[in-house]
Amino acid sequence: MAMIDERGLDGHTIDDLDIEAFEAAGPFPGPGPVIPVPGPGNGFPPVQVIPFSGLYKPQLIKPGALTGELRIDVDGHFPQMTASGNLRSGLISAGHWIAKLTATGPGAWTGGIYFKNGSTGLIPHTKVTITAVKAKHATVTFSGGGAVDRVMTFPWASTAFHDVGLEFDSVAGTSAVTTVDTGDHPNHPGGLADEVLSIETVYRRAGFKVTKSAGDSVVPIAGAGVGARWSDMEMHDAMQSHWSQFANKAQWSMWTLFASLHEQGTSLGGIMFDDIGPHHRQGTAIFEDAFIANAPAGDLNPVAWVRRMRFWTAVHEIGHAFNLAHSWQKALVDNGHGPWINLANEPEARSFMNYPYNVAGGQSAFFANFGFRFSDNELLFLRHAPGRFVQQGNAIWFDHHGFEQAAVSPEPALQLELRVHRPGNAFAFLEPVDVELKLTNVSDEPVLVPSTCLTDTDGMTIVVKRQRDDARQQRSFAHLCLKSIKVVLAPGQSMYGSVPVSAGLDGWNIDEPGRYLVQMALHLDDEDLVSNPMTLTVEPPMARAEEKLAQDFFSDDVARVLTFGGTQVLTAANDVLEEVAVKLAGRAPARHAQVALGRPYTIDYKLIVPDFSEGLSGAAAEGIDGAPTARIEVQAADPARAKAYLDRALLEEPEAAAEALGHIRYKEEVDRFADTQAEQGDPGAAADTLATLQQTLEVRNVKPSVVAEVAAKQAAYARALR
Amino acid sequence: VRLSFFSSGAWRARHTESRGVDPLTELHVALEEGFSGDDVVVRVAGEEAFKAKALRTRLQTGFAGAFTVDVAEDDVEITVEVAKRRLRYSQKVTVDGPTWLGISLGDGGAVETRISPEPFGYV
Repeated sequence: MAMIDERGLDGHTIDDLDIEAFEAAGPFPGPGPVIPVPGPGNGFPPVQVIPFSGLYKPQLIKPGALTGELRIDVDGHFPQMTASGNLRSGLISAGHWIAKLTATGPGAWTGGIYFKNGSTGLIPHTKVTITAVKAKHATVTFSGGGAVDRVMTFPWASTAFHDVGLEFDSVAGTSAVTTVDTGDHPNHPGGLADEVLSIETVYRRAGFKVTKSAGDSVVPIAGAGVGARWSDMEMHDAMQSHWSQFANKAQWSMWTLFASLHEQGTSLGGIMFDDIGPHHRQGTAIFEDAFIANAPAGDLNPVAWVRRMRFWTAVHEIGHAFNLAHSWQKALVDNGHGPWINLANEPEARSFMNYPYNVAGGQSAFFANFGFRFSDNELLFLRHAPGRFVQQGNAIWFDHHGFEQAAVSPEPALQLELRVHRPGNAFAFLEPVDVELKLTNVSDEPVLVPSTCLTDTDGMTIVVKRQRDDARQQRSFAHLCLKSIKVVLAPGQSMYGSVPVSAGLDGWNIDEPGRYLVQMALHLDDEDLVSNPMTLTVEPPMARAEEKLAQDFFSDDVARVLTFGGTQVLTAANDVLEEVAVKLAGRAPARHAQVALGRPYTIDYKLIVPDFSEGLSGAAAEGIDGAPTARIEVQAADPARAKAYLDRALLEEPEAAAEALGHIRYKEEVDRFADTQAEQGDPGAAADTLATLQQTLEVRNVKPSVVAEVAAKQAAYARALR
Repeated sequence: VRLSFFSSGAWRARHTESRGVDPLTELHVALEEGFSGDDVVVRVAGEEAFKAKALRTRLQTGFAGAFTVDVAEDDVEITVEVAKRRLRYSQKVTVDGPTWLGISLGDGGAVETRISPEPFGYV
């Protein structure tokens, strides 16, 4: 037990079970443990190895410190001579980097950083130099790029790059092939090790620490509908009811169902069916009685052929759940979703992700050279791409199956601050949270920034974390198409914006009472800015009526109405907001509700309604595609009704309103209300409204230039009155 | 021509016609890669055999839709029309037994086909 293979594994294998034993022993004080490893084939003596490859990261993170992870990939199975990592500051997964390595000595490598993603401002460097002590630690020196060298040491954590949990459930009557004897079928590569290979082993060799859930079970057919053929929806339902680890969130875990047939019939051998809902890629299915059950005519061992094909299909579908595309789709961009780096298609790859029967020479040519592995590009993605692209339930299917290369950026010249204007950053229960953004040029030189950078949510990553819960990335309801020009931000100058953070496409992020942390990254042309982490508190409900209201309030419709500032269509949401406005009158949640209820009445509101023409025997008139045509109906503005809501929301207690909405949003809402009053022929009311705004902003010590702007506009409306 | 087909959201039709004395055989047509919300019409021997609105390839299988038509054993002209791409493509396919025809839109929208005497499989 003393021989250490410093050369790397060079095709020798770390036995899968030994990896777990190795890691269970933890970091080692001495020269390091030695793992007995079986040789690549019969007759070879075991080789004793310890890998350099694996994950290095600290167990404890000092709050506020720059920290991160390191992945070294230089030995073990299919080494990619690559290192990658991320540097993290605060909540947001900050800069991600990847470098191609060249060995410079035992346990030493160097290489250029060729990929950056995320908050690249944290990684201005262009080169890494790495030294590692097996099973102990690795030290990375970041250099180049005109920046001061940064030296970081990462403790060894695991021989795997990521952890993943698998659960296999099978429909009663199916065989659920999860292992294959690689030598059973006579058509295989000459040098291929003859071994019993499991799905878990394939993914361990791809770089994962695989755990099998204890929940493997047989699915009764009646559980998801009668019949041997399965629809995607039935499988999605079955996943939710039968997968012991199911959770509606991103997690390194997935479910595989072994069934007879898909409703498409025998032409579908398997599918990653989970492209439903906000968390994709958590479920796959294998259809054992589809075409994969039919060996080619005249095959030398049809039983082994079918078993190998079923095994291949299972690994292939699970690969899709890791966001791997087919070999011939590597360069494909579909609806804006494309590869993570510039990739070329690999139509001849002998990979689990290629179709065996589509290569030159057909399936026999494929299996004659198939080493039961993924291609190098696929391994690079699985091991080194930003985890959110790979993790099940995270990036949507096919998004970032490759990623764009980020430009090297200088140290940030800009500073992004999140803030709210209220004591203790405390919010009432049921109160939507708007956060103010302040972008400041902290350099000595003028900086050009996009004029819309604080309004275009597509250019922002917002993360919200409730204490003791996982951080959630907010996905905005709206994607704005804004014409942006560059504006100059002088040294010391700031620009401001406001963004709602309570809810998004994935539901409410801030709802229950408790402490929350909000942080944001702003993606500018050539750098990403990470804000301060801002804590806020949601107070407990003050009365039982609020708890009852919450059941209806925290809905998708109410979130949309509050985000978009009103509706005349989502009437059920309006009913809920009306109840909030009445029952919580005078309090912050009521002001938000009143704004959303009043705004639609300030304008002539357009509604798209189906056009049911008469004279067609009562049927709807149809467009050329057979769908009913539609027309636009305009509901006239109702100034009196708007005033009733907006006076209460904004003007009767203006300081409380400014605190509830935040200065920026308060100014926008009052400004807009005044404009509509003037447009509807009442410049006097507009002047009065702006006078209240001016006074309120003055009292609250808002920047004099903003107050002066309001005063000038107020004076203009007052002059119009005369 | 007798039709049956499977696709997500596809228009459905069934039609029969005899074509002289040639024996009938099945032509299976699969719409595969490259469809991205396309309105697609496929004509077989001049007759509309398949029509789908907003046809989209499911990337994890490379499959968008399929239909089967009985045709005489002969050369059969297949025409594919993709309205928004202003694409009209015709190809003669020799059918001398059960035949599977795969139609994809390749780079730049060019039509690519594959023909097999065996069924296609997708995973």
